[in-house]
Amino acid sequence: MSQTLPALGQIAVLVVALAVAVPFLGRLLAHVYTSERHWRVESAAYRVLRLDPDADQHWRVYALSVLAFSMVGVFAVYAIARLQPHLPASIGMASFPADGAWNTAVSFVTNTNWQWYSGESAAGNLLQASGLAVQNFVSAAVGLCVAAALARGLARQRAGGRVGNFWADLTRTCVRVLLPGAFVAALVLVALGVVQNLAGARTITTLDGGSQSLPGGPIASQEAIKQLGTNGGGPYNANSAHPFENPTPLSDLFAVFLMLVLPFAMAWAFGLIVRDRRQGGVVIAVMTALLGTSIGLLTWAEMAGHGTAPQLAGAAMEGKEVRFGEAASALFAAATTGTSTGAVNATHDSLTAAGGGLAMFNMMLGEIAPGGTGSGLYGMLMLAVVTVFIAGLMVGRTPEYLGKKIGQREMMLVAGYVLATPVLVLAGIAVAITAKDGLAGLQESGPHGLSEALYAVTSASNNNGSAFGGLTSGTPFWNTLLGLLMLFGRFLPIVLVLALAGRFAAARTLPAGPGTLPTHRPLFAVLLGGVALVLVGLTYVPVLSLGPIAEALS
Amino acid sequence: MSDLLYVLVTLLSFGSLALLAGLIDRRLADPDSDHDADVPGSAADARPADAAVPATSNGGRR
Amino acid sequence: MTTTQLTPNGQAPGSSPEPDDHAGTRQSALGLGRRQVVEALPAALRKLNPLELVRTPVMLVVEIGAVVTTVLSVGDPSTLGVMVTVWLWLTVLFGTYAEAVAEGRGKAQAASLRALQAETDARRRLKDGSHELVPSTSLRAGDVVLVEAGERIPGDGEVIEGVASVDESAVTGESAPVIRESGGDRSAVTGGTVVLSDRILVRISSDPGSSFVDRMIALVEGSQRQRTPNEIALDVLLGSLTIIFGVVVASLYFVADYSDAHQSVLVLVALLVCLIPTTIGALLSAIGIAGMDRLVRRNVLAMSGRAVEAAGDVDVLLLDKTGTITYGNRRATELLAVGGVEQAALERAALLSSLADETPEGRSIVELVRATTPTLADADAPAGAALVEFSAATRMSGLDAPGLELRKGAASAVQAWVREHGGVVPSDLDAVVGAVSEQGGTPLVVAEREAEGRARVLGVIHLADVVKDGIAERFAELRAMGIRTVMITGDNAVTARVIAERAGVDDVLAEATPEDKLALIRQEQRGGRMVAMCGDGTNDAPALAQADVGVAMNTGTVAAKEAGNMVDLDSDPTKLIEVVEIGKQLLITRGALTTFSVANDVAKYFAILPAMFVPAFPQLDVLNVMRLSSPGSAIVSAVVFNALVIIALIPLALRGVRYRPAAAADLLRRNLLVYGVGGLIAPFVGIKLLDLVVSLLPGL
Repeated sequence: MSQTLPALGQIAVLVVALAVAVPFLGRLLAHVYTSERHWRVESAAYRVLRLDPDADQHWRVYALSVLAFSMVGVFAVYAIARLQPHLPASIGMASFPADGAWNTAVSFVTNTNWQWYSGESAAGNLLQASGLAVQNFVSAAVGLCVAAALARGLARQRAGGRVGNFWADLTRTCVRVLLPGAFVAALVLVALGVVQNLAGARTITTLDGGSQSLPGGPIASQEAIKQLGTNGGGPYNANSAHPFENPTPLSDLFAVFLMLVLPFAMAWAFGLIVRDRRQGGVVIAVMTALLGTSIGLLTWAEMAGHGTAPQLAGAAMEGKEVRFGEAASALFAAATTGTSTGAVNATHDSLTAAGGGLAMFNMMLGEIAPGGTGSGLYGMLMLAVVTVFIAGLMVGRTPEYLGKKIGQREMMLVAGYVLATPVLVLAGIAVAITAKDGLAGLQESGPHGLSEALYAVTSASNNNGSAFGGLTSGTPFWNTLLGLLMLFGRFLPIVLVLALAGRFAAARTLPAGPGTLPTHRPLFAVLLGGVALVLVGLTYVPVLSLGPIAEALS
Repeated sequence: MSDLLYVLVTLLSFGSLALLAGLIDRRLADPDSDHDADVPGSAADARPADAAVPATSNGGRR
Repeated sequence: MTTTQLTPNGQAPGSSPEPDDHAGTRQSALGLGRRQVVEALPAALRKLNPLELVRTPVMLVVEIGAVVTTVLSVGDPSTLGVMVTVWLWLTVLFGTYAEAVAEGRGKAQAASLRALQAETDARRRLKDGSHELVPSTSLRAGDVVLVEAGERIPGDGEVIEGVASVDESAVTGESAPVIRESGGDRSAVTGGTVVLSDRILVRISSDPGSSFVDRMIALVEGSQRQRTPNEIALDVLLGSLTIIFGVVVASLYFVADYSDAHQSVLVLVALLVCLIPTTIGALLSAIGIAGMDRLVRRNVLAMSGRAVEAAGDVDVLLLDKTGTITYGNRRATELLAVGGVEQAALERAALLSSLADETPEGRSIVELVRATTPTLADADAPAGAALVEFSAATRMSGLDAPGLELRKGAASAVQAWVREHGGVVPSDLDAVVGAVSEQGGTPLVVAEREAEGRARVLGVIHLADVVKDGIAERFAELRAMGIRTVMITGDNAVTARVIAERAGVDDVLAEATPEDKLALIRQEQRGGRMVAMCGDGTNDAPALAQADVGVAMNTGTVAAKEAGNMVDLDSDPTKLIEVVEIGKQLLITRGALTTFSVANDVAKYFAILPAMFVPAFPQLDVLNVMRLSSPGSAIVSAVVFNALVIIALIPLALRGVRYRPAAAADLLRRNLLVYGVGGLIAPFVGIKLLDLVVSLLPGL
């Protein structure tokens, strides 16, 4: 097959690029979260905002800071979206409806970037730039901060539940990582042909004589942070399928690289922060294995193209861009659902049933392969604690992870974490397909209709933001339901993770010996991957079997 | 009108999460926490203090 | 009242079985005995009370499910409904039955222990020195009682005056009487034991209801069993799995409705029960009780389940040299002639001087000579010989016979004796004595003096600390498990190091005082390590209390027993190693069954999901990999398998999974293979086989 070679080629390029960038960025991140020194620009910011960046916060204070900061963000975006016509640079866009504004505000603050509207025809420049772009940076930073707090909690001992300073973490992440990273990425994207200007829409005459309005704008800079911060909300409705956002296969591959690089780098940084690089290595290995498997399966599903329409057409090209083809679309789909990005370069609704199911399964895994910026790492670490608990017993010791005993309280926090997202997804789907308003949004009936709804609630609860398509979600019902799922799907886990971080930071670190379960060996990696798959499989297989599985087998 | 509703929903959501954080904090700080006993040494502290004192002369005082 | 069943299967107390030899317990677990099996039934039924089941939330969910299906089946009887209902009830019953059986094993022991508490009269001493007769139940801590030969000691206490031999077989199973005397480390007596000779004054140390035997009864009955920290943590995990599956099944109800594949509540309840971790949920408390029971069977009483769990976590074992690592007494291992004396002469002198010497060292010399030189096997002391007893002043012992004087003892003392009697000390003696000392041994110099002649030095007996057989292998195993051993001894550093090397311990604390011990424990704990030790003396009490696992010897003082969190009735310090192994086995059993339970779910999905959805989506039939005959049969087979697996695993829960000391990674690999992979495969086979039978039922 002539398609196999490029399919493997793009993966090879990706692996090499990540292998070079991840250790470098990992070291940078580890330094950012452990360094005692402030940059001058940071100190200036702290002075202006009257913050004490050296105060070591108790986990509860850290968590409240995250919540307060995010709540202010929700109100800010909400206000801008509602008051858009009365604000400058609205480029003639109307006010968002209340439910839509709230959904959008929550969506961007939670790093979900679910978009019920189409960006180019609803959001003015002020909303795009100050509301959404700012959140693209800070919501990604919040995820990294929480992961850093957990890593520090594990690295410390007898620190009285203190896990660091949220404001310093947040500022540093933006100033030292995301801004420079996005800047470089934007330059590369411009070089690869992505549009970047400050002009409004341009009206052109098409070949057949009609006229068309082509909206331009600062696309490359938006695009850079959209992928780097695993946000996924693009300026155009077509997202990364739009030629202004993603013109060539090369820009497409670069976008995939941007999505993956920070989540992997944070896992590397984790190894450095806990002073045992192998621990980060195991996390990266499991992430890579899960991601690799899903890329492989998705590519196979798309290229094999089961289903009536694909077989008639000779390929599963419906909803895909010809300039990318099946393999690049499958890779993008795996990466965007494996991370919490949610950008799409093809319509997931048009993926083969198996491919769509895999994309869903990726999100259901809790986005740990490699997950969102930071959130992928903490999701994986929570599963590692579950794994350690079961496996630790099997070596005849009460379980411990990185020298921290896993007792009743730790288990309660982890259990809460493991419970939170599935409960949101399953309760969400039950509500969505029972309520009249919910059903009204579905384009199809039967298994595919279920997939549409299931994809939406899964995407929202896991803060992915990718859309299956087919679902008309811009109704008060869907906006509110998905908004709630996004909000609790983001912050409930964060509170629990920070609580666990505090608990770890307060506990003493026990020395490891030959009797302790080694958590840096391949066996543990296999077990961790297995626990993730079994846990998620057992939770979602019943509902999946009525949606994508039933569809794929028909 | 609906603005007020969504402002309320936001406040309630974040408020409940903040409450949860407080609740967890209080539970974790519980002195009866089993975790304290997991820490070596303190299991012994939990035993009657006088048992730790050599008691030849009045060994059976309890 | 004779001995209790604390040492079952005729296993001699003090003889420790091999760590993986559970032949005795296995037999009693599998072959429980018809009586025990039947006797547990009423208790199992009583435990169906929801108020009791609250402690095991997983089983409570099953019971609620059973009630729901009962109501549904009564309203609308069907073969499926009846089968599911019956087997759900059986699932709960099997769970409570497992707990009842585990408790039942202790009940028999408790009954015989209770007999010890029969009320007796006690002679309580009054202030004026006279005695009054009071019932033993009215004694309070601090009372002093007089106990004479043939009487039962009315309560736990400490001998404050007198010496007596006491029959403690009722508590320890050891039939030989033991000496109890005031002062020192053998002053503790246990209520219910019988004084065989002499009379003693005992100060009672416990109030009624809180005595040692009371605690034993509570322990073996499991009545005061509190869930241990790890058990609670596991319950949290199981609870969260139950909630997840509850949500899964509840949401499925709506999703199925949407998909026009309506599911009856009955089927959903069956699915829920199959998914929630019933296997481990049902067996969890039985595992805990059985773990305590295994300790009791080895004559160790743990004061709390927490202590047993802690034993599994131990990083450092502090072991006393004498009695644990070496045989309690030194033994003769070598006879070294000096000054050109013939070996035979030395051997004969050594033998004759020791024949009447009843000390263990003396006997070991006789044994050594007789074993190495058969010609001397029948040698006997010359007529008219008199034993010269060892005294601290002379530091020699020996034999005075007509025409022959023999002496053996400390080098300096014997040399002095030889010089005094005109002899010359050979020049090579110092070197030989020095060599023996360097090897960690004690040199005994032998000298003789014939018929008023000059005395001469014959040679040196090498008395050595003999390291117990197999102890080095034991320590190697411990090392593999990640446990460091530290030998505690009063010997000087040189001697201690030699023995330590021979026994293969990791570290030595020489010339140790009780304070040193305590300091060492604290130091290890500061490093985050868990420490286990055993001890008997009052001196040991602070260290026993400080250690995470403190095993007090039953022969020890009251203070030691109060301070430790376990008591070894056999007073065998080696037991500590077994205690650690039992602790580990307990945790491994929990982990293994949890893994097994969760792994089972995969197969159950393959059985139940096609059964539920094939009518609406025929294409899902490919998921029916087991080719089960009908939807009804598939559901019933899964439910039946789920119940039967509990019964099948009761023996495993009671006996614990096989444990062999090994490094953590090896243990994990092995247990994962057996219980993880096995747990994935077993239900596929089991459900298929059950389906073959169940499908014969009419109406399925």
